[in-house]
Amino acid sequence: MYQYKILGFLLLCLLFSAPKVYSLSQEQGAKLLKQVDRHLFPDSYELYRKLINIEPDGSKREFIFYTVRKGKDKIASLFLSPPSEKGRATLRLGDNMWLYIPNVGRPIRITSLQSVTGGIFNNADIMRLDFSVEYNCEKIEEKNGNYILELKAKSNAVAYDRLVMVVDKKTILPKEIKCFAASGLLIKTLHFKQIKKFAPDIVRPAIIETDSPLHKGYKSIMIFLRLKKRKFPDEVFTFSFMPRLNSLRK
Amino acid sequence: MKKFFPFLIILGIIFINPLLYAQDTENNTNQDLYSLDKELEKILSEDKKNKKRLSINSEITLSSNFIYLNKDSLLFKQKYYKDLDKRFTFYSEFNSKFMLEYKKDNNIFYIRPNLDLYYKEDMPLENNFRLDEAYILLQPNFSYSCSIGKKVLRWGRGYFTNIVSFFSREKDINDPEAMEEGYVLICLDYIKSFSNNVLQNISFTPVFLPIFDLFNKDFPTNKDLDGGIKLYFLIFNIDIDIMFIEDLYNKPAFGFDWAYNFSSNFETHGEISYKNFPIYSFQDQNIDYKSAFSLLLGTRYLNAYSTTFILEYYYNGHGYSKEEIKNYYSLISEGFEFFQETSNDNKLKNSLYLGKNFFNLPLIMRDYLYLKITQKEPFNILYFNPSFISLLNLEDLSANMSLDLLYSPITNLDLRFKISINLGKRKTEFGEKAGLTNLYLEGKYYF
Repeated sequence: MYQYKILGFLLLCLLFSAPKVYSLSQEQGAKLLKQVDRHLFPDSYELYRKLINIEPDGSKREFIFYTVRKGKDKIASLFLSPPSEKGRATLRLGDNMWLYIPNVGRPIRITSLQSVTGGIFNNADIMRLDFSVEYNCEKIEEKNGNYILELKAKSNAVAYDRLVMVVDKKTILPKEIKCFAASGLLIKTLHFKQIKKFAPDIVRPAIIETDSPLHKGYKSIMIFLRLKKRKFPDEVFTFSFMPRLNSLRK
Repeated sequence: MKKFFPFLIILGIIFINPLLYAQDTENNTNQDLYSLDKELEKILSEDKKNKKRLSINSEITLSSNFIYLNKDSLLFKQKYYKDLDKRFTFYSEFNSKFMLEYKKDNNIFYIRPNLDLYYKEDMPLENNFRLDEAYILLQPNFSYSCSIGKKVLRWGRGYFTNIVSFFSREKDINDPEAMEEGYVLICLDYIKSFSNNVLQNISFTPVFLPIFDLFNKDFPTNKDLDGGIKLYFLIFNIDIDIMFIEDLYNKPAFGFDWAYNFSSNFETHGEISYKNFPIYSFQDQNIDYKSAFSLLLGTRYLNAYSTTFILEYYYNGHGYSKEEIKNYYSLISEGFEFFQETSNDNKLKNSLYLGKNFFNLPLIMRDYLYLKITQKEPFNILYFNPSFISLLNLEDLSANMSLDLLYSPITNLDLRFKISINLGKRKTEFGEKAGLTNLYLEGKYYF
């Protein structure tokens, strides 16, 4: 009898120590995804970023960008450094993406799968739209103080077919995002680190580290600085304005 | 030894860079990358530097070109008729470019001087200084802008050539991404965006190009002031341009181009032009002007292995037929035989004049197919991007093929090795080129 009591007690302990997993509705997931988007970025902003590509032997290449964004689907970036890339600009307008190289003298259409910098980050990562614009939330669970969202791309034009996003329940900020191809292959994992207060109403991770099983030993790090709300006219996000993006910087 | 000196410098750069690379590695492994304060301090100081009103960017290029000559070709005989034992030619070039930009409020002053130093075997060192661009950009607001001065105005969507770029010089098809020299012009720009999914934005760009003794003298017009416009639309996610110029070789010219992504990795583009152009008529022994349509159709595809394919078809409405080209080659052949019999080179010189102005230029016939295949970082060799390039003349089935190896061992340094070969039967465009094989080595440093 005594043994049964101990066994029962142990079972109860096991039950209460096990992680609790709750499922939430897809509508709640969609709402949460929009919150994540707004917590990561304001609706219209300018941003300075540094991208560091780290090779297995520790050597690195660094790029500095100036980025402006408006609304759900307008984003433009300008390379400030290194000198070999300075003056290059990329523009995303919905599903359209262009690259401007000063030597060439006119923008050309590119794809989101390409990378203008090399390394693990590609154009879709650098010129990312809101998650809620590109993905539907198919499943959401609560686990260990986090929300786990399973997202599916709305169209084939999106770089990654599926995402699994771990969101902190308190801050509603992502901690980790796994990116999968349609075949189920894990392409890369984004790790969000170092929460920083950029403005009274902009508190978000300042560092995104990326690693990929397809590029073992390589790592890319994006560092966010100077994220400020700023309004722009729509004309800034046009093909014709790309050669003049530098004039936005004050 | 002297003539190989630039060659040795480039080789030196290739072998020195691993040492620089090693130093770069050693410094970086000791750095704490996650210290945000350190990164912030670094970036703020860099940002302050970048935000200064005056910004300077420079690049220096050292290149060498070694050409193995085709002694059986007619263009070899035309050029080297006094030196038939010549087997190869060599030249080196040092080039420096500066891009200076001065910004005040929304207005920019931009200047890009270009300095070349050429060394060609058995010739004295030549130099050429040129102001490629120098203009002021005025921007009263984001919708309007006005550029006044010497500027490159590149229109069109094609990669290896553009047939609707009415206000710019011909592209170098061997290096389509090379910076060019502009024309002095006034270019206005008005941009308007719309909040709908059909017509997303438009721009209107009128251009005025004055011709004076001091500048624009080589622009192909008889007018004192030439002008044109370009209308751009982004409609149903398609880039569309319509161009017009008032006078190009004595008549107006019209152009149309488009670019569209069928999917995220598959793009298509094209250009159509209708313009006047001078051609040489063997029948009349004179220069005629012919108005004709030309067409460029192209596509760009990126596969899952990061291989980029660029394929373009070019129809030249002013191109010469096979028979017309054969007439030209016959002229060279007769001139060469006449020289050998009489030591009189007048006929050869006459053919040289026609060659320089009409027949020895690129893309002189009618149908071409251009293919460029670029593989990003094969075998996981970082920052190494080799390309295979082929330009095929579809009429006479002659071709130029190249292997282009581009490697960036350290930040801001590009090293390029290119080998190209001309293939074709006798009396074909590439078969009669003076050079059979071309070896090109280049080191470019940005700072």
